[in-house]
Amino acid sequence: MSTVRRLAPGPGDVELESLLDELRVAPVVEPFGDLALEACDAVARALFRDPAARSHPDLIALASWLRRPNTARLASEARSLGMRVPRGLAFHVPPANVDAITMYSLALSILAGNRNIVRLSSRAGVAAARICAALDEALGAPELAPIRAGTAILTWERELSATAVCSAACDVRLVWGGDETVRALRSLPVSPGAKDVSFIDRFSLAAISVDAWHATGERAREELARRLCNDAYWFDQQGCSSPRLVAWCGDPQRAASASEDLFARLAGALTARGYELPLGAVTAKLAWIAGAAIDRPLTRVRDHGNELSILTLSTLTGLDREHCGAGTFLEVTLPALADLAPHVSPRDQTLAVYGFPRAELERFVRLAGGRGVDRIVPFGEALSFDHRWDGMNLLTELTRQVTISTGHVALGSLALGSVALGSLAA
Amino acid sequence: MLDSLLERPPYSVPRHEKETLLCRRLAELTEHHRASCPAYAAVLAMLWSESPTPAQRLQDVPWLPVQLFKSHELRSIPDDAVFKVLTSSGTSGAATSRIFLDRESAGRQTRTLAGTMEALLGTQRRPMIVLDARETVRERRSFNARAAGILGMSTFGRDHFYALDADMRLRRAELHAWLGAHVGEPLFLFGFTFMVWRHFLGELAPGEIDLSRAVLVHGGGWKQLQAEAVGAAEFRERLTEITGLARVASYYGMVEQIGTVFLECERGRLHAPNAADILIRNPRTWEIQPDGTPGVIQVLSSLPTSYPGHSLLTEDLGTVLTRDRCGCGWLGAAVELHGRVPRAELRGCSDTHAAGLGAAA
Repeated sequence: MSTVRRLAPGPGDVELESLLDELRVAPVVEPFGDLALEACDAVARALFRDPAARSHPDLIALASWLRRPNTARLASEARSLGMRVPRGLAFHVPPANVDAITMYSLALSILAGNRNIVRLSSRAGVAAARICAALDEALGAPELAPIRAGTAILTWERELSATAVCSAACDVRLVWGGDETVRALRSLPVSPGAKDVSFIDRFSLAAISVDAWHATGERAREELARRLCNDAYWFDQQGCSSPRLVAWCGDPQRAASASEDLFARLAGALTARGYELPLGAVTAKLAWIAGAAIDRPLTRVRDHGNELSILTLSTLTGLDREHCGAGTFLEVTLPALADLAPHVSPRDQTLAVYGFPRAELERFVRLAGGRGVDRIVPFGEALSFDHRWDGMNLLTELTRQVTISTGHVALGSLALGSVALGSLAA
Repeated sequence: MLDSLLERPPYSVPRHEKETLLCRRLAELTEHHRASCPAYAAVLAMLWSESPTPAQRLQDVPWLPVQLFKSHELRSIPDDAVFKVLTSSGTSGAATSRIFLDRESAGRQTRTLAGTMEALLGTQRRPMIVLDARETVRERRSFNARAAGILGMSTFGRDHFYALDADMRLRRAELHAWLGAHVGEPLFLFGFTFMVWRHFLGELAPGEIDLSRAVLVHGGGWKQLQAEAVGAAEFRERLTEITGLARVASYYGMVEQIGTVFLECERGRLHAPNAADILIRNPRTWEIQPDGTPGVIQVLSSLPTSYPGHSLLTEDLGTVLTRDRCGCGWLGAAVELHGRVPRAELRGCSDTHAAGLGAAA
């Protein structure tokens, strides 16, 4: 027996094995039914009420996402996907440093009607504590008892035994930790019938039409820089969706002046926000940039203080996706968006774009041929959570589809068919 | 020129003269490494194209982040000239620096260190106690920082006695016998700070041995002793109390600038030796901080010819308290250390997947 700490609902030490027994017999909740939607909405209300949560923009965005108008949209999308039933017990391993993912992952699974175990890292932050508190409060409502009975946010140290037990017991495992975590968890098997949903390390980029930039007015440029600031700096440019490379599409000289303009405005946005990197991140970045000067085909390096460095590449050929984050932009100039397609790698996740007509984006996706890029978004939406993530629809991943066929085949022909099969076998 | 710095008595070169000589030497080294180390030349071309060449002031000498020696192999000598490869100790799992020395630079760093150590030990080689196990230095092919430190320091002593056995236990009987054979002689003790504290001092009864004619040099920092909350003052007091040690000196140095160590003077300050200097940089503007103001330490050394390590931005924080005016009488920048730049825990994640949140406008 292993003792683990339950953080929510109902904090305290629990025996993992008996908890699993309880979860197994927890009431089945209707997928995308009213109870599941209410549970999410109750968590949203608790977050909105929590003054400590209000200072976290990511929790506010999470709370909005958990509200009924949004979950009702998800429910209607799910209903359009055929008859969906829960997978059973879901085991979530959210990332250590991006707390809100914990709740997105859990909420989608509650909506899908699953029972859930979440293993929260001991490094999880303040936002995770607010999520646990909100969950504890929300699921205290008597009518949500069935969901409370099927939900457990746990934490344990790095010992593998509890992780192994949960992996063996679950029907679907969601691993958000990046390559290393995925690799570590792969060594702990899930049961043969269970599904592994893994989120690996990704790289994200932005593409800007040079002509469109020059045709854009002053205020809109300022707004674009502000949005890029959100996209890139919210997670110190360490999020998988944070843009790290800017591809300028168009004339090289006009691209150079557009680049000067954009990054000067970005520097202004950073100053306005009072954004400052910790010194350790700055010294690590200085070393990374010096290394890039040795290893990468750079033509120029410039900076706007500690928080923003721009490394101009002469080519994307051979570009690995190693990157130090912390306000470091690689940039390259290409004749057109289509010229980015040959360089797309499976690491590439989000492409934030400005100034391309939809047809050009679709052409780019066709040219990239599925090698990479799962999402194309406007500036400012790189970090918005979506239930379609890394090329998967989580509504589908978290449910099973049941098909029912009735009535179209007459009984007589069915019997004949059996006879025919029988004679074949003979 | 280099000789004029190296052959002077330790801590005797006045600031103005030192800066003039050092600046010329460092500018030469910059050109030497630019010509001999393509990786270094690439860094200069990309990051230092606007800096004046040759540098007219110490602060204009281009620097490399010291961590670059962990991620990249940087050397200015061909394969067949490599005589020794030094590695930094580093915590387990962390990348280690690799420093390439040819015969000439290995010899030069030993001579330079000897010149500096004279300030503490005089010119006669003293009987020496190494507060470590002989086994630590047995594996001669991989010179980690601890072994390199011991071997480097060993050249300044004679009749060496390793005070610990392979299990880090005090060889008490042998120690008493060795001390008995050296009664009345000036002694030299060397060890790493936490080894001295944990495996030597912790084992001794007050008055058990008499080290009143000995000098202890210790290094490696206080990190391992943080859990025991031992500071420099207590360390020194306990040593004096238990062994009667006359002089205790720590030092500041790194494998990336082997040979130039900053010794602690009797006032407890670390002094830049003749062949080296220190600059303190503002962590936001990277301009030079005025003396007395803390910042990030940049170290300058006139020694490295086999690898481009003559000007390095460290990950250490410190303050230059005074130059040439320390009450101890030693010349050179007198420094106080404030520890390491803390490792940054960024909000996102380098090894963990950070997925999106609505920071959308």
